[in-house]
Amino acid sequence: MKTPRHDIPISDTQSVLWGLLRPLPLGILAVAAFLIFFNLGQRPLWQDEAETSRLAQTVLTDGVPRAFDGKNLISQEEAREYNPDDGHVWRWSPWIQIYMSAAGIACFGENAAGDRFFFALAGLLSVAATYLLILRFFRNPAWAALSAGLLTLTAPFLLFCRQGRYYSMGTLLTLAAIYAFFSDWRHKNGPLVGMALSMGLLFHANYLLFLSFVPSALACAILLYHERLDIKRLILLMVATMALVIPGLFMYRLGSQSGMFDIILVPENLMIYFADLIMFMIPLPVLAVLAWRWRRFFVFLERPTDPAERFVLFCALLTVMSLLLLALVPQRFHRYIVHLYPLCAILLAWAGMRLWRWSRPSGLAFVLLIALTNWLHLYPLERTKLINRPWQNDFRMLTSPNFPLKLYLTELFSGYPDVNANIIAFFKEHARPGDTILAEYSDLPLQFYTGLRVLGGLQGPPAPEEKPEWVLIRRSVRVNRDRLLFPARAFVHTLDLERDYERLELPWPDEDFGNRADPYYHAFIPVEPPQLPLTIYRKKAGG
Amino acid sequence: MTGFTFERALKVLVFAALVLTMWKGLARTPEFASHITPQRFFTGLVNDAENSLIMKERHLDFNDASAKAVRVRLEELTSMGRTPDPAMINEESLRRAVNRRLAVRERDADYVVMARERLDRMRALERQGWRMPLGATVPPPAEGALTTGVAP
Repeated sequence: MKTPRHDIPISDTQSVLWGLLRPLPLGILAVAAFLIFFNLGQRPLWQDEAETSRLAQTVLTDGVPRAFDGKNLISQEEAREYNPDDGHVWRWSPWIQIYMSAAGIACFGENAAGDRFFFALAGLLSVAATYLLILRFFRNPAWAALSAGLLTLTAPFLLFCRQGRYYSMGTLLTLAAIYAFFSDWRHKNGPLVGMALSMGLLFHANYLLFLSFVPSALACAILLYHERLDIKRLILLMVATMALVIPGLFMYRLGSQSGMFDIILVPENLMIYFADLIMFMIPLPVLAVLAWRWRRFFVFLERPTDPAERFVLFCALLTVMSLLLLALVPQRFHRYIVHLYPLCAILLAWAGMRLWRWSRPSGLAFVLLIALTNWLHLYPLERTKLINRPWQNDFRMLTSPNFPLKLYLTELFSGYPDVNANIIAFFKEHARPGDTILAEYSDLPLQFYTGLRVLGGLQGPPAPEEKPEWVLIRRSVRVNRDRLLFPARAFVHTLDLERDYERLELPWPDEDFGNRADPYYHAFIPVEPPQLPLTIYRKKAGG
Repeated sequence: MTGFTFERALKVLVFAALVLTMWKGLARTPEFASHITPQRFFTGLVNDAENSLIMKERHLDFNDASAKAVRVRLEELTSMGRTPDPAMINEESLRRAVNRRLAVRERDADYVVMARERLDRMRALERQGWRMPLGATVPPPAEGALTTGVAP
């Protein structure tokens, strides 16, 4: 039977997997593996990664994540994440990442590379899944290879794949859900179960990804693939997915977190997510051309007849709708849109190929610009004064015109004098077992790497009678949800540092975060002096 | 006869736009700009850093004034022993406002220091004739090399 013109062609997954065993996809995967895994543990875990790995340590001893291990508290929300009455069980962020981290630590030891291993693997599998998705449903090896290739060369995506957090897992599950949706889920149970599992697990990877992705995907499917929807199967899918999701609503106490909604933040969130989209994912000129090209869809809901183009429109709409939904959430981070990078790579690859067919010189120039530079993203924004570049950013970061991959490779090959590495090295050398550190930030990496008792950070107020042997002051002033100083800084203000403590200045700068992947914060090359040094206070004898 | 059609003109325009983006983008990279047009490159960086410093100093001034205004109001209300509408403005809410202002002030004070460091850094880079390495490696910084003195 001839495949209807508007339908996506169907082949089977097994034969498509063989398609992966060709020189070009294998070469792309080899490059991706190198970029993701090379020197994976070079920089230590930063605060957010360390939160996950510290919880993973409690999983390895207790079987469930707990915010208190008998010595240290694991909290970045001033003790909102747990209830002491139920054994400090972690009831804030979902647990999949904690168990992935625990598996990595169990297999490869308590180190950054071990902690990050399974997340990096999920990142690599996301590149493979991007290739397979296009190859299977469009039988276009060139488009598949270009999509996977562009994703492989996207520096922000690579940075997030190297983090011991849910980002890469969320990406893989998103791709799996889309793959299952196009795998004839109306007639086969395998894709239906696959889709329910992917979406259910996505919730347990990060519920914000689930809450933004699932409604967006459903809306896009109704608008673009309504013939692929079957109401009975859809109900079955929803029941199966909710069976996985509902326990999580209670486990992570979503009801108590929903009180943080703040409508005043929505316009600013929208603006910044849109800036993220055009600065790092899809250049503004490309969005403008595509919006014009698809004007009949936006006005009359007239779908593109070409299956490939319709799928690209699906990717674009899904991305934009996800951003709209995420703007409702008060916390705004680039990490919440990392799972959309493969869809953007697919879109850009398709645009490059269309341009190549229309005009080869233009197609070549476009692909070179997208693959090797961030100029098409940033230059039009600089000209139109739309660029969202934080004033503190150095010109060797992803927010300025650069060769992103060169910056990325420079960090991989030359290393980086990471602020957490320097703090950890100092305390490993100078602190004695039984000492207590009050750290204004980086308390969780210190807990993970030194095993000492570490207070402060974003945990909540230390007990007034605490007299820590060490005080780690950080230059960055952090304010909490009430826009007040975090209690650690307020506690430091109550100490008589001059009388009771000896001031030590380390020969390294006091940078804000360490190995944070967010393109607005990630430095690949250390900036030159002058910079304030890391300052530590040691309690005087008898102090 | 096939003349200079609209489509051909469009192709030329699109290609020209892409080439222009390539050229302008390349001209803005530190690799190109620091080697080929260093004067312009450093002038841009120093101007940018100066603007940031001015902006951060103004923010600090504004927050100082706001904190002072809230504190004066708190003192007035304390001396009067009442507020016109205690449900909306009371001692607790004003104390919270003062503490918020103080937190922002502490952060803005650090931003001014950071902006000044940035300006000093850019001036030092210009003075030292800094150039962006063309390869994908940089020498590891020595202990203390990043915190004191001027740029290499």
